[in-house]
Amino acid sequence: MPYVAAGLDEPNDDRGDARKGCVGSYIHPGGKIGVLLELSCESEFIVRTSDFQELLKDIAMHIAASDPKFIAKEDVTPEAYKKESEIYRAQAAATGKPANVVEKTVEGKMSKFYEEVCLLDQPFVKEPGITIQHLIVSHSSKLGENISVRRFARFKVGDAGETIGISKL
Amino acid sequence: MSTSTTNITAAQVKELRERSGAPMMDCKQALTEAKGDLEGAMTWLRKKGIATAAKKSARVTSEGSVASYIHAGGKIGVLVEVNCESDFVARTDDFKDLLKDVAMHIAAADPKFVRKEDVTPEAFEKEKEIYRAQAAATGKPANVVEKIVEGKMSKFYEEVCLLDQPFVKEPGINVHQLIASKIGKLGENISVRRFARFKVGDVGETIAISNPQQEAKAE
Repeated sequence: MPYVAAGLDEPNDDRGDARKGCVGSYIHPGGKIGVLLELSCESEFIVRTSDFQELLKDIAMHIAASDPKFIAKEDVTPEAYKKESEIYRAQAAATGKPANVVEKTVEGKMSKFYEEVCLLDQPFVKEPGITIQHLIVSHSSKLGENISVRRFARFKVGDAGETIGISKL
Repeated sequence: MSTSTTNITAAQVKELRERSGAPMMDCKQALTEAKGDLEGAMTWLRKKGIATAAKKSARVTSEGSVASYIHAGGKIGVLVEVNCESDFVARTDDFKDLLKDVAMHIAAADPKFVRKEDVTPEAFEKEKEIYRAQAAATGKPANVVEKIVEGKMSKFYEEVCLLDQPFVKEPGINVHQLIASKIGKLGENISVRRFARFKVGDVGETIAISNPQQEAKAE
């Protein structure tokens, strides 16, 4: 390869730069909770549609209300997962039930854990019958393009912790 | 009745008590079990079902407001939290204008930190080393090299720290001075708590968090 031979850096692959999308925000009335959200899609054209803009607003509002900690299951760190399951296991074990029942209890609790902390698995606040994943998929098929949540930030006034969710590229 | 385990100080018990809301004796036991490790003690308390989760650690300690600014049809977005001392001030138009200005400034000027104090030693040292190597390459004496490095580093803060950046709408003052003028007008301490800045297509995002407890009160 000529680049290598010349001792130059290899050209950066532009997998990040090819992304289209839009940043939106939601400030809860009163200004105590704020959310910043970036959605990715495949073309600039989609970004301008009212469907896309509405989706952006809905998800930002959902994040303000439901306070997810991660975007997808895959984003949950092994440490966070392990810590939670350890806690559930200890709690279940304390009831004195047999080991296989304890494991079942832990599994049940952990499936709810995703529902509670992962944006895509949460029930949509405006329509609890569907998850955010469903909401996105229905918009994707309507607009004919892949749509995904790229990242979000959620601040609450006075809260020591802020939530920053970033999906893996 | 002293045990053979690690000595737990009253301060540690107090801190765990504040964080967990659990009774004193439970906190002490948790710390003993965890050999003085606070995180371990928190986990121990939760396992025992004593701690009322992390709820208390997240209690509201200050007033203020969160605002956003979306630039160029959604290509750049900023979320910023500014704190003050009372909700009364948070509701004033002056405060709201400040928030809007600061959010817009962050979108335009792309700071990486809130204050000088927030610059990580690693980021600082890395920049410094680069400048030192550049200056040393000119063959100047060591004391001159150090002077050059210092000069460059003062500009570094101006470039990456929100409070030291010249305010985009009024480059004669920096953001710190803009805030100071509002403090004078509203009679309350005001500080930038944190901000996030996303740019579509950019791999990196800026998340800057400042500790308001260390914010200089005297201005």
